[in-house]
Amino acid sequence: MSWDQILNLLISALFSIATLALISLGLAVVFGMMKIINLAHGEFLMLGAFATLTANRLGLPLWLSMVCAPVVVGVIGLVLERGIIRHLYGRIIDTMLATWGISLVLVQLVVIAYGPATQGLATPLGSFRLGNYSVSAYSLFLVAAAGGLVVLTYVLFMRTKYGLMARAASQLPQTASALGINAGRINMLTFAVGSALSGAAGALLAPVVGVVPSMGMAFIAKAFMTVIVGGPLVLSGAMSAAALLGSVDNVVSYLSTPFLGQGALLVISIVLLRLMPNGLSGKWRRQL
Amino acid sequence: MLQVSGLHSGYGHKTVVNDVSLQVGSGEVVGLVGRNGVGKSTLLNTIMGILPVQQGSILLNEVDISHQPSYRRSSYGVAYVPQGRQIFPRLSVLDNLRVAAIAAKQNLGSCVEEVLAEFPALTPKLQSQGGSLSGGQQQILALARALIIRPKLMLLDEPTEGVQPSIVDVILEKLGEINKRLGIGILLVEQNLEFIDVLADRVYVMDKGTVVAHLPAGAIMNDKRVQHEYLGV
Ligand SMILES: Nc1ncnc2c1ncn2[C@@H]1O[C@H](COP(=O)(O)OP(=O)(O)OP(=O)(O)O)[C@@H](O)[C@H]1O
Ligand SMILES: [Mg+2]
Repeated sequence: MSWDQILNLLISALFSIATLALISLGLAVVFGMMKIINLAHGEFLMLGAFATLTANRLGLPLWLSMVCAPVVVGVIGLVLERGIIRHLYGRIIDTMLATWGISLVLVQLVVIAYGPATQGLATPLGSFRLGNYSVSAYSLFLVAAAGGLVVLTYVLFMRTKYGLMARAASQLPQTASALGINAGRINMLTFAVGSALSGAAGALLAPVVGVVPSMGMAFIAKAFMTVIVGGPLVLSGAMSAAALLGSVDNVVSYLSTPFLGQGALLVISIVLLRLMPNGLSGKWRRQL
Repeated sequence: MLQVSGLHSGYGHKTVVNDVSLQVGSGEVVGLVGRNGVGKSTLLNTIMGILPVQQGSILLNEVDISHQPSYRRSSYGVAYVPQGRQIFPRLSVLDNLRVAAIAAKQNLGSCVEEVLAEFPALTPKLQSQGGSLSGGQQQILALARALIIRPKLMLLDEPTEGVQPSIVDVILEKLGEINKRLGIGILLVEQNLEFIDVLADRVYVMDKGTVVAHLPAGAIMNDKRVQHEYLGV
């Protein structure tokens, strides 16, 4: 292999990893910290993409439009948590039904507003040459932005008072409340944080995937796979799973076809969960 | 200080604690004994608001807290050391203390330092994860965490359970100091009658969810009938 081939493969692997990290980050927070199975997770990503598209069409520069997405989706998440989800804590099946219903409603609302067709959003930043390859500069930006979001999430949960209370409430809710932590408020904030992260991910992915109301469907299975393979540690688990699954997907796609790459992703997830039923981070002694 | 009257509580519609009344005066140590499964932990969980009151009332310093949410009760000066200690396993020892200070809106630096001065054994462990400590170390951490909020009353649920004998003595000594020097009242659930005898002034005996006897602490060591009938000794 020549150097440009290797670099190109490396960049595309990083891109796959970053994409998986982005689509699973918000879910990792909501599922990992709150044990909520949010079947509307894909639609939160979709809303982030549409929020970006809308702000951009209203005349905001693309970068600013992307910043709007986490705010918009975070507020939507907050409203849904207060209105519906908080009444269902601890009832897994009810939460799944409710979030599934929410996902259908969100898709229909967006279809009504924008139509069912794919909306175009030009990929910014152009491309540069790397030996015999042409590399999109935006894919490098996306990798950096995904890294930035992971660091931000880490800081939020490890370095702030809210983050400490959220981790405590997620580990032992009753003890946390006996100490004076208002779990209802923490849950509200955590759900909003997870939603905002999904909104940011949708915004970052908008220029590289088709922005279409049904796009959430394409993400949700992969997001759950990543989070479940990751195991109990919200951040290090899910992000290690993204790194592993993203690399496998990429290498297999490179050697064969993207279709087989997706297949390999599924197979390796199943094998991993047979070998480590608690996920990659099941025995790790980290905190997040 | 604490006044529980005609209290009923349990799980869902099932009543476990059945018409319990008891009092703990300020600065007093009161024991609560009874066989496994008679409802001692259920009673403490109800006082802390983790389980709802079905009937009756809980007063702290004359304020009825029966229907206050759990997270407000600590602000009335009551701290809880639950059965099994309930140390946050994936928080460091320091964070187990800090989270209590943050939740109680106490001054972070100073109250953590005060508590560490009280329990110097925790200092070398500050960065270890809560889940990696031994049972005795966790019990000491649970006591320290409860003291962070500068309580007037502590509810202790079986502080010697699963703790090695050398640390039982440390805990006994610490609890004595906490009570004498800081004037903190204690409601102590304990199987170890000698432990109760050393610390407590009075003892309530529970059976099948109700209080069946109320004696001076010294009497329980000598009262073979009570021991046999209600404690299975
Ligand atoms: N989560 C629960 N749901 C339903 N019933 C419960 C629950 N926890 C405890 N119980 C029942 O309530 C009764 C009292 O239990 P509790 O834990 O209060 O007893 P205890 O006196 O603290 O016992 P021990 O000395 O073993 O700690 C028991 O019969 C128990 O089976
Ligand atoms: Mg008990």
